[in-house]
Parts: sequence; structure tokens; C-alpha cells
Amino acid sequence: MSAVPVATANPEYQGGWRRLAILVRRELWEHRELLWVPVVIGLLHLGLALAALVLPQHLHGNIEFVQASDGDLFEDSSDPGRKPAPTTVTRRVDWETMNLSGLLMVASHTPVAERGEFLREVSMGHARVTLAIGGFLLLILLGRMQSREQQTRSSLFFQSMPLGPWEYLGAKLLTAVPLGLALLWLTIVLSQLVWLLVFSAAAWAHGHSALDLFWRPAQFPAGWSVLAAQMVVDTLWYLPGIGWTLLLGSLGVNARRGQRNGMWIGAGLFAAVMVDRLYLTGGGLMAWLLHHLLPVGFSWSWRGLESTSAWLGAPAGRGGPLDLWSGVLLGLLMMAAAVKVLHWREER
Amino acid sequence: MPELIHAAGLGKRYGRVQALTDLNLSIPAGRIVGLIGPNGAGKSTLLKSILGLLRFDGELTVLGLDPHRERAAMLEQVSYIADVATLPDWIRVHQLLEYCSQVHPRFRREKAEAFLAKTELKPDFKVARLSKGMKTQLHLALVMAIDARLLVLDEPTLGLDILYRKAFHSSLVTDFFDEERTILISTHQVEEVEHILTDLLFIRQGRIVLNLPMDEVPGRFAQLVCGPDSAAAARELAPLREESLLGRHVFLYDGVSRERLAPLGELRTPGVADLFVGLMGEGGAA
Repeated sequence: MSAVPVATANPEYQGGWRRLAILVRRELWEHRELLWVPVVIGLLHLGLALAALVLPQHLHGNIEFVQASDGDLFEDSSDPGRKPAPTTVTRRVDWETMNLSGLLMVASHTPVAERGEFLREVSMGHARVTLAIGGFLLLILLGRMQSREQQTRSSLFFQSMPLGPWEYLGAKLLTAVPLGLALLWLTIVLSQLVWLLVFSAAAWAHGHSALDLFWRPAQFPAGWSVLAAQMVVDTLWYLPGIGWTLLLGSLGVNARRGQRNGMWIGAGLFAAVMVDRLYLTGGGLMAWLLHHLLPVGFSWSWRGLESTSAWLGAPAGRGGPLDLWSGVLLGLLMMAAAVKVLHWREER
Repeated sequence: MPELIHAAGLGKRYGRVQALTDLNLSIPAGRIVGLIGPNGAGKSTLLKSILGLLRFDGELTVLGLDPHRERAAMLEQVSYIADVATLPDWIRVHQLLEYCSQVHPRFRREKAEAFLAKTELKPDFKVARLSKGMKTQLHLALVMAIDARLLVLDEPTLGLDILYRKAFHSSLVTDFFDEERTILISTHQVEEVEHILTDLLFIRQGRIVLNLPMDEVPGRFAQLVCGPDSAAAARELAPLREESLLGRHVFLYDGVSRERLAPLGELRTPGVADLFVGLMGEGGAA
């Protein structure tokens, strides 16, 4: 018997990538959190960055700045190699007494070539904290995305549409990971722009030229591209975490006892936090295994720089490319296992 | 008529439970088939197999395609309504229309909109706020707008009042059914679908116990209503089932000629519910 031919009668029908776009759009309709979580994270970031203008001493610790005889100001303790030791120290400025005008003074004395870096440090110092929270929330969301439909039985409706299983799950993954991260990145960038506007207004009020100080080309965009690249690399590092979350979600899916899903996710996250602590203080094979099996967003705050160096070719071993790519492989395997478990459970 | 569903030796096992056993089936186009059986008989397993939601043993093709391996292609011509709870609560009517029109190659938005125009549903209504009846209307509008050749319905009117149930069944016949399309409907409300069915498919413990066109029911089955004086003679003709009602006896027969039964009392053609009880009930001989 031969298959009955299908005539496409629908002028609005979208194939290929366009169809994937409508599937992603449908995920955004359902999971509004994907839109408001980055907004909340962005506002949090902006709040922290603005607070740093007013209360820098509480947020930056006791870093000392040394003003050299030529008038330049530089960090004394954190980066001694950045500038030759001054022949004459005219005065010391510490963060205990630093405030908005102090920050402006530091900015105005920082060489133009280094000013972008300085501004990034000041305005993005909290980006990792906010990204950690954002990544954590996105991973929880990812677990919920695949389980909620099974609990509400709406999966039966979506499964009645002519979609392949990978198309269906791929749209969820695409929505939660690259799109979720891109939205998070965008809100961080927007919050920094707002921060920069506020800082510029303050500079103008203190008699500085905001245009010269802050708005030179390539000062911030360079930082944003570094941040975006770091988020991509971080995502690779967290593929095991993403795979693990999906696997937990698929194990927890139960239409009759939906609460079990929450228990699985909760247990996974708790274990991840505990392992994170172990990993920070320990090492060796066990730590590697635990880290790759149970990492989640909390780690985002401290893994970024390490992962970036790994991307750039750090020596093999802990934190190196071997570590990274083996984790990527493990993450992909767990994702494939999650799909298998989902199908198996649906058949039961 | 081309064959839309073909099964040969179809089986499905869940661990130690054999849900479907050596099931053979052929459903052509232009039929409305009632899939009827008690709870746990294997109805949902059969429907899920047909819809490609389950792996199975044996041979099964739907529209000439393997429903599991070629599911996406098959679903371009197969529509499915489980029950009113399957439409997602968070979605709005216009979003459903947009989604279906961009994802389903055989969906016609204008047809769905024309159907919805006859209801009180508005594009910005959210599914969560709709009554069960309105959800059914919406789901029906979506399904009717798909140029499908096979419509699978699994308890589609569960929880609906009689008015919505009647309207639903009426829509199936007037807006969807024709000689090119087939409807496979699984329901416990057999009396309500009886008048639209063309075929009966009874299933029990994973096996088909009756597969019969409705127009052959009167020639094969008979119901005899008689007084106590004829009951003994009626019992000798090996009825499928006997029950007593207000001092009269009601017997159900399979394959006994009406000429032999007529002298014993009043003859009737049994309804689907009578057949169901006779073939599936405790006293069933099948």
C-alpha cells in the first residue's frame, strides 16, 4: 500500500526554520517568565549598579587607589603591575571615603585606553551575580517547560499536530537556552546603558564631560561582546547542568501526581548547590564527576572567567578544554536520555 | 473504498500486562466506527497506537504510513480530539488559530473562523476562562478546519451537557464526514452515537470481540421479549444474555434466525448498549 499524497492547501503554512520560529513563539506565549525574568534580573542589575555609585564602599570592599605625582590614579593592591610604582604618592583614596564624585575622579584620571575596562568593572561588577540568578531561573524554567504540558494533558493537543519529536523538544531547548540567554544579555546591556546615562548625568552635574569620559566608541560594546561570548562559553560549560535538569524533569513527569516533578527538580537543585560548595573547596575525580552531573546556575557567578580561559586554550585538566568538551558530550547524552525517558513514560 | 487503517497481528505489552493481542483490523474510508469496550479493554492503547504515540508489535498502517516512524507525515491527514481538557489553558483563541495555521499544512484558518463565528467565542478569549462546552466548540472548530482523512475521537464529549453533546455529534456528520473521510470514535455514551455509527468495533481484554457494520446488526442479533411461559423455550436457543424486567424476560441472541424466535414473543433489534451489555457483561457469551 502506498502513502496517500498530501497537498498543501494552507497558504499560511510555514516550513523549516519559519515553522521553528512559530514553535518558539508558542513557547513564549506559554512561558511568559522567559520575558519577565530577564526584566527583573535587568532591574536588579541596574539597582545594584546604581547603588554602587552611591554606596561603593559596601560593594567594592577596601580597594585602595593611589594617586601618582603625575596625577594618574590607579589601583594600588589589585593590579600592581598595571602601572609603574609612583615616585611620589601624593594621596591615597580608599573606598571607605569614595562616593559618586570619587568614582568620577577615578574615571577622569584613568587613561582613555583603560577607561572602558574601568567602566565595565564598575558597572558590570554585579553582572555575574545577576547572571547567576538569571541562569538559575532559566534552568528551573527549562525543567518546567517539558513537564507542565504532561501534567495538564495539553501535550495531547500539541502532539496531535504534525511535528517531529525533535522539532517539538528542539523548540523548547532553543527557547530556554539561546533565546533565554540572549534576552538576559539584552537586559544586562540595556540596564548598563541606563546606568551609563545616569552616570553621565552625574558627570555633567559635577562639571565633567560625559561625552569624553564615557561615550567613546568601543568602550562598552567591547565589554558587551565579551559578556556575550562569555555567556556562550558558560552555556557550553553548563550543558551538563541543562541536560541534568531535562533528565530530572523527564523522570519527574507524572500526569497523575504532578507534584513529584517539583520534588525531583528541587532535589536536583539542592544537590547541585551542595556539590557546588564541595567543588569550590575540593577537587579530583569525584569533584569533577559531581560538578558535571549536578551543576546549575549558582556556579555561573564563578565559572565564567575560568571557562573563558578554557575556551582560549588553557591546559588540559580541571577547567581546561578536555573538561569543557567532555562535559558538553555528557550534557548532550543526558538530553538524549531525557528524550528517551519522556517517550518511555508516555508509553506507560 | 481505500483502506485507511490496516492492522494485522497487532499487539502491545506494558510490562506484564498484555494490552492488545493479535488484533486484526481494516477500516476503509467513508465510515464512522464506534470503538466500544469496558475500562481497561485496550481502547486507548489501540487509539494511541493508531496515532503513533506508542510502539507496537505486529503490523499497523494508517493512510499507508507507519504511525510511529512516520508520525509527522501521518498527522498531516489525521486529526485527534482526546477530551476537553487537552487544549492548553494559557492560550488564547487567536493564538490557537495562528499556531495551527502556521504549523499544520492542511489547516484553513477561514474555515475555523467561520465555524467560530457561529459561536460566542471571541478571538481574545483565553481557554482557561471557557466553559467545557465552549472548549469543545473551539477544539471542534480547529479540527473541522483541518482537511483530514481520519478523525480520531477519544471520549470527546466527556463532561459536556446533553445539548453540547448533541451539537457535537451533529457537527461531525454535517461539517466533517463524507465518503472520503473516516471517523473513529471511542466513547462510553453509546446510545448517543448509535445513530451516526456505520460500524461497531467491540474490544475486550485487548481483543476484538465484534467488528460489524451497523446495517448487519439486525440480520445477526435479535432481542426477544417474552412472558414466563415462553422463557424456558427461549433459554434453549442459547441466548447471549437474559434479564428480567417487570415480570417479562428479555433475551439477546446472536445468529439465531428470527423465524425461530418470532413465535416466542416480541422481537426487536437490539441497540448498541444492549449488544455491549450482552457481549461484554458478566453474562456475556462472547
